[in-house]
Amino acid sequence: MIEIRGLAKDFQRAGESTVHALRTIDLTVERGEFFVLLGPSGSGKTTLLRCVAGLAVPDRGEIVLDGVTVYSREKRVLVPPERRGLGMVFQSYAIWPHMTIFENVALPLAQKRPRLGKAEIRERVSQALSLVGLEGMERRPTPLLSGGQQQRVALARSLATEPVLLLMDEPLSNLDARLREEVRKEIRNLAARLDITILYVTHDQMEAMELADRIAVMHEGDILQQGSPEDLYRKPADPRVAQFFGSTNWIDGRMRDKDAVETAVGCLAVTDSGERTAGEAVVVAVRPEDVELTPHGQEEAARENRFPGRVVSNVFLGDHRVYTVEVGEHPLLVRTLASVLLGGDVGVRIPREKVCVFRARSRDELPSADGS
Amino acid sequence: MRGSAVYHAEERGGEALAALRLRIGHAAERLPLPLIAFVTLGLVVVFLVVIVQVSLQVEDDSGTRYGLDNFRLLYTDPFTAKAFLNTAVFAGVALVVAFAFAIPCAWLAERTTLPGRGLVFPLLTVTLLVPSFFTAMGWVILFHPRIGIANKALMQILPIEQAPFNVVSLVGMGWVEGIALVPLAFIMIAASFRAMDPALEESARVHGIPFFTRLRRITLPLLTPGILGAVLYVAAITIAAFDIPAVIGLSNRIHTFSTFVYTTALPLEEVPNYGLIGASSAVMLVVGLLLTWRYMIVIGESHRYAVVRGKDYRANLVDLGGWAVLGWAIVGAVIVFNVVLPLLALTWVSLIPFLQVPSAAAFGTMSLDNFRAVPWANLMTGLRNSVILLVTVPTLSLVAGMAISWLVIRSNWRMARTLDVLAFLPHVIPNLIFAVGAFLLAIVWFPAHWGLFERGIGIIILVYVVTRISFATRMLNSGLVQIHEELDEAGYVAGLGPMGVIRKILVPLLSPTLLYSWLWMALLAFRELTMAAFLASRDNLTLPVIIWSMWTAGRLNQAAAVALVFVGLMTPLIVLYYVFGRRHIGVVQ
Repeated sequence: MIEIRGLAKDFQRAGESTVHALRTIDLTVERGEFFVLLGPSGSGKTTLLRCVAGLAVPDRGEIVLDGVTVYSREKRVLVPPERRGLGMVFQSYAIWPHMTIFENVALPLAQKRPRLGKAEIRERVSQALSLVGLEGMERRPTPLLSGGQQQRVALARSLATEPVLLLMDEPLSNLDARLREEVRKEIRNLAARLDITILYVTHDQMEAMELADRIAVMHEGDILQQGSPEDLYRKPADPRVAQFFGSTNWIDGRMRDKDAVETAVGCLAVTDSGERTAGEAVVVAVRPEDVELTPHGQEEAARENRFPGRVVSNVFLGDHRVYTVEVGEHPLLVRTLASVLLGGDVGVRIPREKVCVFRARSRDELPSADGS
Repeated sequence: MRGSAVYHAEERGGEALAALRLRIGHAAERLPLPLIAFVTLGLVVVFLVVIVQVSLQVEDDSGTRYGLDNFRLLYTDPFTAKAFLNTAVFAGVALVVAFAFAIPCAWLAERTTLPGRGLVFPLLTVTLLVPSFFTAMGWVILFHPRIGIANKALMQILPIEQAPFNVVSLVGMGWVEGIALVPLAFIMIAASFRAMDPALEESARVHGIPFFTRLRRITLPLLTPGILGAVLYVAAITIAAFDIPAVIGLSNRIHTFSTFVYTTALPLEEVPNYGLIGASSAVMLVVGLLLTWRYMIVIGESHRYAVVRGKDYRANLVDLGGWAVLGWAIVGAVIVFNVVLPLLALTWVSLIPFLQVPSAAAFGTMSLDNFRAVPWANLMTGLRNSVILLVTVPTLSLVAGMAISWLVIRSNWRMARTLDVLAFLPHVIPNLIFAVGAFLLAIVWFPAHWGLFERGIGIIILVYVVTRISFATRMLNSGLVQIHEELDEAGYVAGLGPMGVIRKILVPLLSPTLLYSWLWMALLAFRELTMAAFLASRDNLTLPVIIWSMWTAGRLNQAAAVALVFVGLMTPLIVLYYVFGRRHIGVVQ
């Protein structure tokens, strides 16, 4: 549905050096997929979306939408946004304030060629509005609508022409937390119901995980990794991806052999160390919820990936607890349902298949490893 | 995304266009916009280039060559030197008068509890619209040393032998010019008052600093950049002012720069010396640009004084108490001197056969004879021309302004910044210079037999549009900035082309700005004398030019009668402007 090859774009800021908004992006989105571009602000995700929409013009590369080349530096093709036949929901919703709800939704329909009849436009506007739960609101002027209602109008407007591809640019960021949850569900239901491909931009990893079939994590104009939410969570290819999806324990170490890492905590057996070689400095990542606590201390120590530890802090978070357990000198975050005594000795088990190993240098690239 | 919707650049215009399109986005689709912008701003450049070219061009026995002879002539010719000296005195007096009134008015409107202070701004803005050459006519009728009726009346009442006031002098002209410029100076200074953080004054007050010390040590120093900026801007206008010198000085042989250029361009006997016009205009252009340059520096520095402040924070209003009467006396004086007194004088003179002090005998001679004697057929042609200008100038200015502002604000085109600077030029270069440029263009660059002048008012429309382009683009720039760009983008995604977005989204959203700007420019086009006088020919006379030529021909009573008709025609437009523009009044400059 979307094929992006070697796409790059630079911004030239006056008096400053060039900013690489997009470095060399390759991306394929399948028909019917809900694809999320995830990344912090400035990572290039919105620029990429705008290039797909035609609102931004890349410097190099190629974009093919539904088999049609809409941009190619090589072939010198650039299809303007108005001829790409897309639907798009903007961050500010971009509801035209001088028009009623009906006029907003009808305008894209009125641009369709061959022209649609008046009756058909009316019919399709009301269909689109009922899709988002705004039936009967056609005559309402738009400036007085609430944020949630504007969001729905924007959605109806982008769906009215029944586009094969819908672009969404942080559509939930202007809603309050409760409404965000609600609209998120609705978007997911809509996506499941309509046969539509969605490219969705967000900086919220929870939103991405809930909505996406696949996610691409972006950072400084690069795609760090793409895959299903679970892949990215379980098998991050880059420490920045691990960092982005929730808190992580980072432990420095050195490869002893292909299957074991010598660390401050002890010798950790691992299943997949990638291309690391013996003696190489590495950093390992373990999710707090993957660390297991066992009641006893010392006698466990001999067995694989089991270490004695002492509980130094305890935070109760309702449905779970987060402990800080010192193993040797190294503090580890542990997320668990179990209840253990503060100050008590515990056993710690780190399942070998849950350990991710990265090059040591790559840890320095992290924005800030605060582990929270 | 149907196949037919895709187009390949090669098929539509070749490699170059494709490269252009890849570089500037979809700008090629918006070709009409760059085209309009280039034509309009190209004219700005052409009008200035022709002045420089003509100033350097010397005719002698061996033909045409280039040299500095014209400039040499400029400072060796005593007549020219006198005109420049006169201009300095005239501008100096005008500036003192304008700011002596404008600063108190701005303070009253922005910083005091003056009852009805909300009216000061609209009243003075509307005053700005009454043609200043009417003001000048009124002042001559009242205070001409020999025939001025106020002078005569004062000589009858008071035991004096000589006329107490002489408006037909450099100081007199400067006074009238100053009075006429109060509204403009006021608007600029009021803006600086508004931009000033009242907390700065309040903190002085809290720390026990008394009122006049506060004014001297805090308020005025903070306002200095704003006031200085306004002085430089108004000075650039004054040195090239034509209306008032043309009404008062021209027939009395007191020449300032503008009337000197006028008489040089259209002499009664000899062949006009175009080189001299070019040279003197080039000098004025340089002076104007220098003043503007200083102005830019001052405005740039004023940011030093910027202090973060809350939204719509208005406090620290000085309670005038009984002094409010004096406050309104000052504001009232501006309106009386500018509008009331001159219009009363014009009304009186339009009803009597010759200038005389009101008396029982004089009242007996009152009639509408002056109105009947006016050559109405000529006047109707003038009216037609003026109405054409009134309709076409603001419309074309807005079309061109929209194209330029769109490119400046909405496109990422590298040329955009240049366009913006070019569009700003007419704001700082006196209108007169552009009129001279157009005049020289039509006379010197094009063969005489083409008769660019004689072919109606096309050239006048062009010059008016060029000089209005700054105002139009300033208004539309600030209007466009306030429209969230995603509203446009939603339009593109919805399938509207660039023109569709402008037509269906931007124009409706800008409509209050467009309406206000249209009315303002329509009024200015209708009342404009300077440029129309420079470009006057038999077929393109406008109403103001006809009134002015009646005046210079000595038919004062008839000129007064037509002036009143003119004011009558303008009134409904001013009312419209006031009603629709109320929300916008205050952003004129």
